[in-house]
Amino acid sequence: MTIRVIWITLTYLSDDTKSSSLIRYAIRIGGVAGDGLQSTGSLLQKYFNRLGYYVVGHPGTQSTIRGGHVWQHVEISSQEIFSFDRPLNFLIALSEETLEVHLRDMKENSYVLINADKVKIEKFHQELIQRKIKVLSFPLSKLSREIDVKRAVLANTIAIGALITLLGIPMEGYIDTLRKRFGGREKLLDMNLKALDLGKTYLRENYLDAFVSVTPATLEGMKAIVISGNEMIALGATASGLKFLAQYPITPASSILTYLSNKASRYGIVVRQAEDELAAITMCIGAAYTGVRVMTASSGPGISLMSEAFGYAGMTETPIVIVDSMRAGPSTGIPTKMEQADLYSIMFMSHGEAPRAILAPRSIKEAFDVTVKAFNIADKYQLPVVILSDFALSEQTASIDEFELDVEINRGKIWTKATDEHPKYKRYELTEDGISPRAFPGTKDAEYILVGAEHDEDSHSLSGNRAGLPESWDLREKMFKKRFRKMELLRDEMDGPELYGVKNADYTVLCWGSTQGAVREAIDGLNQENSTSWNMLSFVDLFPFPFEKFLPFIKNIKTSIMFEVNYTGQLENLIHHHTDWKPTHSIRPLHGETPTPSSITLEITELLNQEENQ
Amino acid sequence: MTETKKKINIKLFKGSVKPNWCPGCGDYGLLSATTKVLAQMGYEPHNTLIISGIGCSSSFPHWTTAYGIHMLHGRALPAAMGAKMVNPSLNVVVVGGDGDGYGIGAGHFIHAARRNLDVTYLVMNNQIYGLTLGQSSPSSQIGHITLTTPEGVDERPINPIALALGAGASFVARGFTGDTKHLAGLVQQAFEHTGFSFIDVLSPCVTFNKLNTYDWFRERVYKLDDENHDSTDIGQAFVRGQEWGERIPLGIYYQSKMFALHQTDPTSRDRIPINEPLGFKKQNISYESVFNDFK
Ligand SMILES: Cc1ncc(C[n+]2csc(CCOP(=O)(O)OP(=O)(O)O)c2C)c(N)n1
Ligand code: SF4
Repeated sequence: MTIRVIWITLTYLSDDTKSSSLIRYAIRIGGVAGDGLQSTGSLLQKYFNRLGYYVVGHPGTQSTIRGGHVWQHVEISSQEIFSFDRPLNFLIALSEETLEVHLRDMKENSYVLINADKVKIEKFHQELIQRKIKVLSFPLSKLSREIDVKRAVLANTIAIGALITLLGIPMEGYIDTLRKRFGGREKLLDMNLKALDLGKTYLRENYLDAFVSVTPATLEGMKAIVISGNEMIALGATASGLKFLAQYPITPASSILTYLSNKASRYGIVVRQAEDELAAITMCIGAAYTGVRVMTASSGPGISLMSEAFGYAGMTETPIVIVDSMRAGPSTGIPTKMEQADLYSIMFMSHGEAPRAILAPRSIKEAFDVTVKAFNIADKYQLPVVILSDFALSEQTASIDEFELDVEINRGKIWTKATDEHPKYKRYELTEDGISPRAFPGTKDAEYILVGAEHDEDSHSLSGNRAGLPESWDLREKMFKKRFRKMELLRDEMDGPELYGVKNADYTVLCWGSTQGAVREAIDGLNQENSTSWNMLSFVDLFPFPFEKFLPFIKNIKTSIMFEVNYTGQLENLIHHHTDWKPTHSIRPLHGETPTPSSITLEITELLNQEENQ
Repeated sequence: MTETKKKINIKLFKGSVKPNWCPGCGDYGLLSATTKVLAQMGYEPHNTLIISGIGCSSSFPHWTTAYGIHMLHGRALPAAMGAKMVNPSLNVVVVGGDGDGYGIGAGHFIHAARRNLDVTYLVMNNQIYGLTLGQSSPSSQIGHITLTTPEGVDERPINPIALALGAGASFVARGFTGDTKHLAGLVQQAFEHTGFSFIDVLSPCVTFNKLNTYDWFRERVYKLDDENHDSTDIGQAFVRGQEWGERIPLGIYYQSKMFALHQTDPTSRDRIPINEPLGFKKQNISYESVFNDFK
């Protein structure tokens, strides 16, 4: 087939260099682990949010506590943004490596503020001049020592003082943010305020004409919050009535545990750090059996460990919610990088065949609703539900308007006493919809034994002395069908893909989970810059796959590109399995870095140019 | 005021399904002792939860009338932790074999002990893998010829008493199913104890362990109570815990009073989570306070 040559530039967003003030402004601070970048990044985001800007934050981490290169990306805009992007307007380089890694991402006319005490700028001179990048050289270490000899992190605040001055936006908001952060610790607060002021003065004294204009904020300050995907999941779980969380620390799932540990008593949740992930999931099963809503969270290695108990939850029809914050695998992989490669392993996790559901939130905002849905599905259909997040979604932060925290809770069928319909309690009563009532310890006349062995309606095991007896053959089949009847019902409740962009477009990009925001912005750019038209189909509910809701889209898809971050094309294959449909092209980036609008646009351009040249 | 004492139905916890254990299996002794003590102490099946792993011994819950979880091999204790922490009003009993508890589940054993989880853990220790037909177990004796050790076991057996003591268990005892009366007394004291109560129950497998038989034990066991043992002294407990072979002590090695996990947990120490309302609104948590953390 032939494809028209399309021409795409990387500056697909409203081109900053042409207009006098910037709509979107990207800041990055790079240094070594231990430089306190995460904290600075978080303060900066809260500050911009206070001013009423849309904010997105993205951490660039390595598995190191000290040393090693880390960075924090903060992006602001006066219009809603759906992803972070690489092109930088302002770079704070606390280490030389920061320039080596991030210089390539800088835009023309951007600024780099270096810690002159640590960064030798000479070798970058040529490139900086060529690319019209302006250097602000600050002796940050020396300046911070002037305030306090022991607090090197004050360098960050000095740099922020300079940044805020450069942008000509009010400093007060940052002072308030610091005040909230260091509430009560007057000495710390005082030092930071001094640092802020020093940054301002140093910039004005040495770079009199340095100035950048950004479009004023459009939101009402303090109406929005800055929150990460993991925190959003934690809020969704609490709103859903979570009462028990057991987890073993692992990047990038840990922050669910740390956030809820600090809220445990207040939010009424028993939060325990388990000795391993097998313990975490089996603790959850014990608590779920006892009658509460439960959750555990982990990433690749821990999820693999949970496998046996995952099957047990499916077999015993025990509702549990599991967050798999996917990181690059297999095995230890790249722990601090994202990937979308666990769909298969969750679909097939554990031996034998047991029901399950898989949902993949597409944005931090959506993570709340998806979590609520996960809990309701778990209780209604009595099975394990996996929320597929990933490093990018879990650890990224964004500003989001305050939202309703009161949600609908459906705990499914529960037996509390004999009724006409259920005179005698049977845990696995063979019902038409396959769903039988649950009863919790403490309920009289409902005592039963939860068992991972195949069982009869009363939950008596068919594995021991009844294995192989003719009565068991029939029961085994009935129980199997009962468990899978639930899956067909559940499939109806799964949402189909969402269409974004031009209807009947020339090109359709399909994606799932966290890459949605970046794909969406890439599509916007492509539609702006080209004669071709583009749209996107993004999936959130993945399993049981709602193929009937996808079928109607097929006839309108012309040239399609399936975009997912894995090697084997996992969703592509799942779709094909159910519909026979295959995309024209597939893009499966494996570099480990979170896809951004620029990287996606570039990949699409290269792919189509390649096609053209063939 | 007159209060008629409720008549105790000693068979209240005896299930309708007959155990499928071999005739003579030691586990019968613990089953009858436990069900009797539960009834005598006034527990009721609906507020009793018996949790097991996998093995002959782990079928135990099926032979009772209580609530139960027949968990995965080795994972009974974490399931018990989940259950107890969200409903501390339940009497939670954990049972299983030596393979289940000292082998595949050993990691959970020490953590349940150090957490002082308020459950009673009864290990039917037959020093062999029964259900899988006779392989060696982590508690098999040196030299024991089993299916997997044709030249005899050459790994030193685990010492469950010392292990439990080392892990910080607050109640450590050993019983013998050949003396159910004494065993029942231990089980009762374990139930009365607040915190992690552990009993290593010597429970002969008459089918696969021809070495550690009822007679073998009868020749060796003695009662700590008869020898002036001070069960509040952890030093003495460790010394007695080293005894095995010629003389095997039965009774409470060590007992101490300390807070159980649900009494210190920030949430379950002052409420029963399963009875609490769900969500922010019903728990009277202001939205403002929730959102303020993120500003
Ligand atoms: C993960 C796993 N591995 C292996 C088994 C097989 N298996 C079942 S019971 C058992 C050992 C049981 O020995 P023990 O716990 O001492 O109990 P007993 O049968 O002697 O009472 C094994 C290895 C299993 N069920 N699950
Ligand atoms: S094989 Fe041994 S442990 Fe199993 S039931 Fe028979 S005697 Fe008991």
